[in-house]
Amino acid sequence: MISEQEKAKQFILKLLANPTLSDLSELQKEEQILQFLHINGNKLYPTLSSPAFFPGRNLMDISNILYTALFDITDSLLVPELRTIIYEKINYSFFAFLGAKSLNEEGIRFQIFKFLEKNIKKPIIRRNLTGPHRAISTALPVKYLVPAFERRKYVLFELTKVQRLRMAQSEIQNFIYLSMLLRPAIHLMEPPGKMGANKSNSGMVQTHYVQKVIEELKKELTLVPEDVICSGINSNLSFQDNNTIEATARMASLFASMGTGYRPSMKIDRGAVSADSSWFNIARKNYRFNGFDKDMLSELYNISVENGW
Amino acid sequence: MKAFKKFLENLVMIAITLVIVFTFVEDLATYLMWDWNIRKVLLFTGFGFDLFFTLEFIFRYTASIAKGDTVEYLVHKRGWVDFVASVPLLLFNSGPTVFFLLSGAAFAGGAGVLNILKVVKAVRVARILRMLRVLKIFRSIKSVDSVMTQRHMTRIISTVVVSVIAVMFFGSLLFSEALIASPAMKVKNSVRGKVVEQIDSSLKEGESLSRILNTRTDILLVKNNGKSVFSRFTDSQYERDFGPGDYQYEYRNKTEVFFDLRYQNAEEALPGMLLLLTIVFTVVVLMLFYSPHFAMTISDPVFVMLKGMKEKNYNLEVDIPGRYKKDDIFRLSAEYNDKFLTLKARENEENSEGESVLKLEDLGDLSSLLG
Repeated sequence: MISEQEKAKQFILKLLANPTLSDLSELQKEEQILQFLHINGNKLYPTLSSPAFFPGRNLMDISNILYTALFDITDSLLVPELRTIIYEKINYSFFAFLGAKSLNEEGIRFQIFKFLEKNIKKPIIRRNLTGPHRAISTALPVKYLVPAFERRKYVLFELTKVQRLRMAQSEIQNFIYLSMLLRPAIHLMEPPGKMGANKSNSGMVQTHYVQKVIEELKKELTLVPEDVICSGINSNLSFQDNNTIEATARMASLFASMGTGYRPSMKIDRGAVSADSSWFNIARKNYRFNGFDKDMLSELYNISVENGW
Repeated sequence: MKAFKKFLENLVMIAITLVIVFTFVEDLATYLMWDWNIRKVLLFTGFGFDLFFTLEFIFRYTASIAKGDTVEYLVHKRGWVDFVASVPLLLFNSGPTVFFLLSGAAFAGGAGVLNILKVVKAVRVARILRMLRVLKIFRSIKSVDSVMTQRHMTRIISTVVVSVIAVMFFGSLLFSEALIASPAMKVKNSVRGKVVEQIDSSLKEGESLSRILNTRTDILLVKNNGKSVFSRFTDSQYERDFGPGDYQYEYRNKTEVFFDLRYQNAEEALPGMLLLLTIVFTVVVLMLFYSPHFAMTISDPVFVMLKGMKEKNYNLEVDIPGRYKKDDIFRLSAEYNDKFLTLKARENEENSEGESVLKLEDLGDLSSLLG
């Protein structure tokens, strides 16, 4: 006799095995399946409520069983990935440049990992982690930081002269990675959200709310410098309304947004512009709407065009 | 059944490719005056191809009647090409030739059928229609994904090829002996009659033929009162090198003369070869140069825009080449890039009801999940 959980798991695994999802990250796959279930729930209900699956259950019950199975499967892959990012990919030596007195790297890693492990249970934070997770796992910021440092134009000026980051490119890259990981924490004080929620609404937030979240986060992440927390949370602010926000926050905002639908092995159809160039160019036109830094977008767009990305 | 159909389609495709090569080789054999035995094999092979394509046409035509889409087949699926490039050739060209060969028309005794072969030769112009087979190849080739591109390419190539062949076909009929004959052609045809008269009078007066025979190297055989008075080659040479159509028979009183037509045939084969090369070259050039241009400037931008409108997660811009940016299609693409995609990105951002790349039909049979 197969349990309901096992049936749900088999069902979700069948969906996950679809080749169209093969090049997506775990959270992107999860998002696609949530959307699939959301769109097709009513059509699937007669089959899923049959004696072979979940007899006597209503649509909401069945959806919750499936969501739980989906989150469990995703977590079994996502949590180790996050651990790798936090423990192996990110180097925290840049904390020293931000005034951190002693560097307890092991403590920092543990604190950040535990914070994320706890908060990804909240659907709203989970959804907002899709972009940052994808951007970090595909090293999107590094791809653009290297040429940006070589060009020595707007991006480098904003990072080193305006934000005054007196550190190497690899350290700035780690700063941006961590900012992106902390970005979803803007939803820390919100209710967890519905289990089957689709994409979050990335509407801009207000400064006073951001301040509250920062204060809350400082209490939880005691080993993380305030500058990093601010950069992560401020990345949710609109640059149009707050033109003093950190360059790292602006970059985190861009790459997190880009990462949401990013597919590195996407086939570029003949007659189409490459994926990165298309994204930056569209984002340039929507910069006010998304609160992006237009000049930063323009430079990144030029980099993508020059490199055929 | 599906596999058998696929096999037949592949067979037809191979036959089309072979027949295009064969058409060239057949004319080349005449041009280079190859041995009759080789040319005889080519004649039978040509008959085989004509029979094959006639059967193919009958099969497709019958199938279209059964499906009730005869007009669709004949007009839109180029059934008329299948017809014109098979049945007339079998009935007026290779069929009669093979019939006479099989019925034993030999060099010496075949004089009786020569006039019939002349009739066949008169419709030899039908051979030009073989070139239409180049068009048949497009039924099977799916070189591009876009149906629109495929249709446009087929249409433009058909127009060019049919125009060239029509000019050649009707031109050959119009400027023939029957309609508008050149004075040069009339003189050429009357010369052989005069030569026979000259030989006949020389033989009557007991004069030597050597002067005529030395200047007229196309005289093969002269007979008087049924007896051979001159032969340029031995019987075995005639047997090896000459077939029906390679000679012309003329007589005056009791004098019979056979003329060598191989040089004339070789001259006539040259335009056929050049025509085929022109058609093949034109098709290849259109495929290699025009097809990619059409794809780049028409079908590719349309494809990208269509995909962007259909799929929520597809946000690639249309690549607009600078030198074509004033083209209507790229002006439309610019609007798509600047307005549609921009608004679509906003809509995607605002509307949490996303679209999944998964489709319901991807699920397949769910019962297998339960073992």
